[in-house]
This record gives sequence, structure tokens and C-alpha cells, in this order.
Amino acid sequence: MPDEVRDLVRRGLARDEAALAELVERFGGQVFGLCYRLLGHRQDAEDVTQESFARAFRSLASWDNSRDFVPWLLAIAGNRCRSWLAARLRRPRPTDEVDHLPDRTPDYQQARHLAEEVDLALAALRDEYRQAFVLFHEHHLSYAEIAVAMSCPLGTVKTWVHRARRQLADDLRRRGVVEENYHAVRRI
Amino acid sequence: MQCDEFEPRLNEVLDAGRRPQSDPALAEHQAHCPDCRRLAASYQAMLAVFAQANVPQASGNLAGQVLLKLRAEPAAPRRRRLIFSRRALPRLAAAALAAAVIAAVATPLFQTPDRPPDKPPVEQIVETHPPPPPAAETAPPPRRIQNLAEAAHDRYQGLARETGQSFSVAMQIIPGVGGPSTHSALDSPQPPDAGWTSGVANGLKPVTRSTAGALHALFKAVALPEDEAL
Repeated sequence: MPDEVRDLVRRGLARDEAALAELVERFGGQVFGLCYRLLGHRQDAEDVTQESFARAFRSLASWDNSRDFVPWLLAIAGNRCRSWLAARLRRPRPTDEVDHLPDRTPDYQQARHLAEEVDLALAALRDEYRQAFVLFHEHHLSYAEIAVAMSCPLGTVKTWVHRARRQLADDLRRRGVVEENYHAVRRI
Repeated sequence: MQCDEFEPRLNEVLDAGRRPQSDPALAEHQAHCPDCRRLAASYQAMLAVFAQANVPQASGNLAGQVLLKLRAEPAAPRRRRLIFSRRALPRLAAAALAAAVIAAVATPLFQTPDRPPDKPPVEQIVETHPPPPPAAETAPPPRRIQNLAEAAHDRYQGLARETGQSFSVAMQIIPGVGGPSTHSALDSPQPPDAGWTSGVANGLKPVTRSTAGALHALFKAVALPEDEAL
């Protein structure tokens, strides 16, 4: 797997579009997932995902191929998300209606409800807490990899993840999400 | 285990990717502590909810859109690399400033005035003329250099005399220290003390208080007696 990625990157450096497309196919889900978690908005997440890949491809030569490709790529995506969030503060927020249209499909309604609750709880976190938490629990990066990706000390990352856990647990419990869904979640 | 140790321990276990029930200390504590049991349950439930809350899929042809974006963007012009990174520039500027200050303070230390070996007493110089050129067995210095040396010596003596006169006037103006009255002191300043002028002419330079303070600090830093340094 890593060798395949290195080969794709090598071809990508030579502007082989098939290799670049293959990289997007492989890691697009992870990058979009991170962007969606950090931005909480589907259209923004898609835009930033495209930007992140474009930026990564322009600077492929700076990737240290002795390291894993995914943390490097997610670091770029995280930085783009932070820039986007900073810019979003300066402009009116687009409507979220499309994202929050109720899904009438019975089997997925509860999952949709949970996803919205998690999105809300994540949105209430500080940006750094949210990014560290999502990278650790959803993308399964190690603390060391997150520290590199976020350009901060490892101890700081740990503190952020611990605080995010505490805040999320409190938030979800306060809104009754945890108690009422804990057993239901396991059945989904 | 105390309650205040429970949450840090719980986080350590979760950091290691283990379940809280797998840790004997946590299990033993929460068996008889309802608050900590509730806390552990809320953490586990939160993580379970998070794991179940799927992220939606990106719509459309992501790879195609990225490639379109890449093709649409002109190749970015290569920026000239700086020798030093931008972050290092403030530190470099500070270092350069410090070097300039040190050079300005330290330069006079290495500029000892060249006096002719058989210079006559200072009192004579102040009143009359610069010292005559030495009757040497060695060849005399070129005329131009000699003129420069004499001019510098004259200027130095003049500076010493003026500074000494100013100091004398100031001492007379201060009540209870100096001479008869402000007016008369200003009208007829006393000539500087001959010993003071002699000291200045022998290499001591009249300096401001701040420069003197800086020199003193420098001598302390290099552990050099001030007399020896001068």
C-alpha cells in the first residue's frame, strides 16, 4: 500500500493525471470526512476538499516519502479548513437547509438524527479540539502524527483530545442524546 | 483510586484504544462510585454515537473536479527563496542591531591616542603649542600624517578644556557647591583643573553618563579591570 502510494506520487510529480485521479479516489473520502467534520457544511467541505487536493498536488515534491502520506494530506486539509473558517467569520454564513432536510426513510432516520446531534456537538468545540478529536477518533492518527499535522506539541494534542471528549460527553448527555441513544446506537 | 484520578486514568485507557472495563483499577472504582460510573458510561456512549454518526459522501466526481481545478490554475510563479526564512528575520535584525551597538561602544577602546614619546608637560601644551616632533634616530613620519596627528592632539586638548570649563561652571551654579553667584560664574568661568585636563589628554575621554554606564557593564561582562581596559 505505501509503495503504491509512493508510485502514484512519483507519477503525480510528472503530472500524470491518471495517478492524481487515483490519489483522489483513494483518499478523497478521508479528506472530505475531515473537512465535513471541521466545517459542518457539505458544500464548504466539498470546496475545501478540492482546494486541499489541488494544493497538495502542487506541493507533492515537499512530501517526505519516508513518512506516511495520509497525515501529510490531512494536515493540508486541516490547514485549509482553518483558513476557510477564518474567512467564513468575515462573510455571511450560507443556509444549511439542504443539509438538514429531514430524511423520511425509516431505517436511516435515527442515524440521521444522531449525525446531526454529533455535528452540533462538534460545532460547539473549539476548532483545535475538534480537529484533534476527529483526527484521533475518526482517522485513527497517533498523537505524534496529529502533533506534526497540527504543528504543535504532543502534550497539547493530548490535552485537546481529552477536553474535546469531556465537552462532547457533557454536551450530548445534557441534550439527552447519550442516554436515549446509547442502546439504540448499538442496534443500528 | 480516588475520584479525581478516575478521569485522567479513563483518558489514558481510551488513548490506548482500550475499553474502560478492561482496566482493573477503573472497573474496581466504578463498581462502588456511581458518579464515576456515570462519567465512564457517558464517555463510552459519546464515542459510540460518534462512531455511528457517519459522514456523508462527497457528491459528484471529486477527482474530475480536482483535475479541472489544477488545469484551470496557471502555474504559480516560483518565488525566490530567501537565504533566511521570514521567521528568522526579526532575530537577525536584533542580532545585527546588537552587533552595531557593541561595535560602537567597543571601538573607542581600541583607539588609543598616539602620543609622541617625549611629549612635554600638559600645562605647556594647553597654553602654548603642540609638541615638537621627536629628534629621532629613526626616520620622521611623512609630513601629512604628522599634521593629522598634531591636529587631532589640538582638538583633543580643546575638547578637554571646554568640557572642563563647562563642568566648572556647572559646579559653581549649584547652590552650596560652587562659586559666588550664578551671574558671575557664567560671566567668568574658571579654567579646568590642570590634573583633569592632564587625565583627559593622557587617554581618558570625556563621555556621557550613558556611555560610561555601557562601558562599565562591558568591562564587568568581560571581567576586565577598567583601568587596564582604558
